[in-house]
Amino acid sequence: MKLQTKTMFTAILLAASVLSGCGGDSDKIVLKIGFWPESSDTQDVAMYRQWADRFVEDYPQYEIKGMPYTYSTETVGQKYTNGQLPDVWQTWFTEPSKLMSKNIIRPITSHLHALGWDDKMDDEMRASLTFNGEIYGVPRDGYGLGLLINKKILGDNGLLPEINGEYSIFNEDGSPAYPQTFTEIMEMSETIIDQDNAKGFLMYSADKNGGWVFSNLAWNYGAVLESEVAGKWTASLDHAGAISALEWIKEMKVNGYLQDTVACVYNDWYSNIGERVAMAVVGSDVLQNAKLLGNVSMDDLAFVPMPTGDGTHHYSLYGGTPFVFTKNISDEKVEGILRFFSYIGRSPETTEKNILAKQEGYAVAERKGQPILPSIMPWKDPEFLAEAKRLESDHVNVNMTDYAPFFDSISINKHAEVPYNAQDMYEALDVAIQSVFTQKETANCRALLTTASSTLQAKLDAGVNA
Amino acid sequence: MRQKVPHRKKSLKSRLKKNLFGWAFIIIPLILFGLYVWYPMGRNFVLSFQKDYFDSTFVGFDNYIAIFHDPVFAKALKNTFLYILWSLVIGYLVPVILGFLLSEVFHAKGAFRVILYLPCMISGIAVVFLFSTMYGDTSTDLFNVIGSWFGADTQPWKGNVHLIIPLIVLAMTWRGAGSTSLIYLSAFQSIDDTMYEAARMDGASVWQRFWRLTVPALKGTLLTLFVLQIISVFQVFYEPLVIGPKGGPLSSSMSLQLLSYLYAFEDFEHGKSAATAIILVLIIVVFTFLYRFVQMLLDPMRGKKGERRR
Repeated sequence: MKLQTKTMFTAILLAASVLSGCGGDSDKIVLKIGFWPESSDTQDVAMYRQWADRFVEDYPQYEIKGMPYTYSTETVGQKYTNGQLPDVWQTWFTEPSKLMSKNIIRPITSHLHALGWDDKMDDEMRASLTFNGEIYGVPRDGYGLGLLINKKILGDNGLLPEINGEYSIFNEDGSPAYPQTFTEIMEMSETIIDQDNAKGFLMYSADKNGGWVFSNLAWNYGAVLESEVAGKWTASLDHAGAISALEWIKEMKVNGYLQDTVACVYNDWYSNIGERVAMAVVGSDVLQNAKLLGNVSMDDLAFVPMPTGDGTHHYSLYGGTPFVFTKNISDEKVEGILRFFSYIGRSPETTEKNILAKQEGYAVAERKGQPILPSIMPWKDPEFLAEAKRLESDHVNVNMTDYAPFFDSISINKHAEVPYNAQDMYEALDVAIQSVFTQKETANCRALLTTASSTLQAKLDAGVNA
Repeated sequence: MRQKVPHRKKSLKSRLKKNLFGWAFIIIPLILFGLYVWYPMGRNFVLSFQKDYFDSTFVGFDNYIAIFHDPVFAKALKNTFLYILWSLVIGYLVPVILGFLLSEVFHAKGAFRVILYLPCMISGIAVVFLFSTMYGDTSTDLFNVIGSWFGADTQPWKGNVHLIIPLIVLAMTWRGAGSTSLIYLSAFQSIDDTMYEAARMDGASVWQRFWRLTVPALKGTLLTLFVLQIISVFQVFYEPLVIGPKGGPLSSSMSLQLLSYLYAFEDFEHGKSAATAIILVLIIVVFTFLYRFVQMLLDPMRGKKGERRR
């Protein structure tokens, strides 16, 4: 055989072997799962592998491939362009509108409708995932913002009663001893800094986290930040309620009740809530990080509804984590992924298999020593809710007396994020908060919020109003 | 003429054959340059006139108009010049002085060279994280610890809009001064020693030797490194990304390079990102021409046809 023929033969063999290696079983539909746990998380990986094996046994036409992907705005565009995004992955509720406008994710309305899941979805969550009449994802779970308080700091400073040798967030007559208004937070902060090294309150100011929490504060002072007027979306960040909220932050800062830093981000809460600050606004879905990342005992903390500024509203910003589907994946894949959701308990259906999967999930969390708290369910189907709550109550391992005030009231307090340009709004509000932090006494809250409102209005006009 | 045509063909062929080996060496770097430098640059230019990376609709100068209306762009542009100012105050002089001091050292010169060069061996991003921690706002962060020795209150160093750029330049200088000072050292050493000896014998002080002897002899090196410093400062990116963070507080450390990155990867505004990069390129090109102009003013023979040979 000539050298040229030999070379060609070898190249064909090599190409054939590589291609066959890439494809696996060519007749199978490969589902690339982005919410698969990272390989370092061995217990979770083993559990997911077990779920996948069980699924493939019943649906042999599919192959499940774990492809862990943690969403970030920095990577999603590149990964999509290079074809490296998994078929399904998790993001935040503020993102689908942007991802949809950039053609990175696809709608799954018809699939959800065929299964009847669209009607069983939590109304606010469905609204957050719906654009132009199409639904762009499946909610995983929800969160609400609440006030996390360090009972020990408040108690040591005489701000909580001591009942049966422990600090209690309730007075002996059963009335709340925890702060219910922003004025009370300020009064408690004053007492704390007089007697303690800790600060009263942690206010975020950077990475859009400040604006995110500020929007909740402003609502509780009666503000409306974005509204549709005569078919045009209008920003009103300089609403009187928002100005009052910023004035409160200014007063807290001027009096030294807030942390010293100018750029404070959300993840700072778990390293501060142990000893450095007495109160912080935190999402209900990450409370376990107090113990896991901040090494703070869950017994030293309590989670209560957001305080009010106007004496009326205790709104809790309500968001969550949706699963979204990469733009170019086929209908067959979407169908397979939704079936897999049903197997692992991420659907409104209640089956023996997904009850088993949920129990396995709780068992792994318990083995890892994780605090288990109530979750905000993404589905409103009564049968689903009854079963999910029953399972949950068997496994919750924190003292619910300290956490019930929030979870018992979230259903009436929840308030969705603004529908358009939420991240742009948070960014503009960050600037206002940081300006208050740096200018202190001289900060003009009205002017700062007027500027922020103009910035948001320009974004709305260039986008949704265009 | 008739005789020359076949001769030319033969000559071209033979020249190609003669240079085949050379072409073989440069073809791979050329392909790599084409793929990873020239193509992306051309693509970026085209992208700056398109709606988006995902939508190639031609939008004319819309992206350029949009960035000029963005107050953060104006801030980034202003900051870039502030970076230059501070890098000249802190970053430009320090290596010159270090290089000069090294040249004046007689004992353990090698050890000093190694000590000066050590920071350059640390990963750039590691240095930035290190300084970011040092500039922290708690009483245990290095700058506040030093401040406490003198009775100063704890300060949010990197949270200070007026200090953030000098602090970033300080971190950049700490890392980069060693290697630049070695370039100056070699330039100092290329100056004839007998001139220094003569100056010493004439009673010239260190300062006089520096100003009257060293600086004039180093004119070319000083100018080249001056321009290179400006060009590199224009491209400051991960320092404000980490220390700021993200160009903060209040965009007071935002640079054009970082803004371009944030447009693309945080806002998905790829067209605006490309337009920002083109503006940055244009500014650097202007500075490069300015450099050539100043160089020609200082040395008129340079840059002309048949450049002066030394």
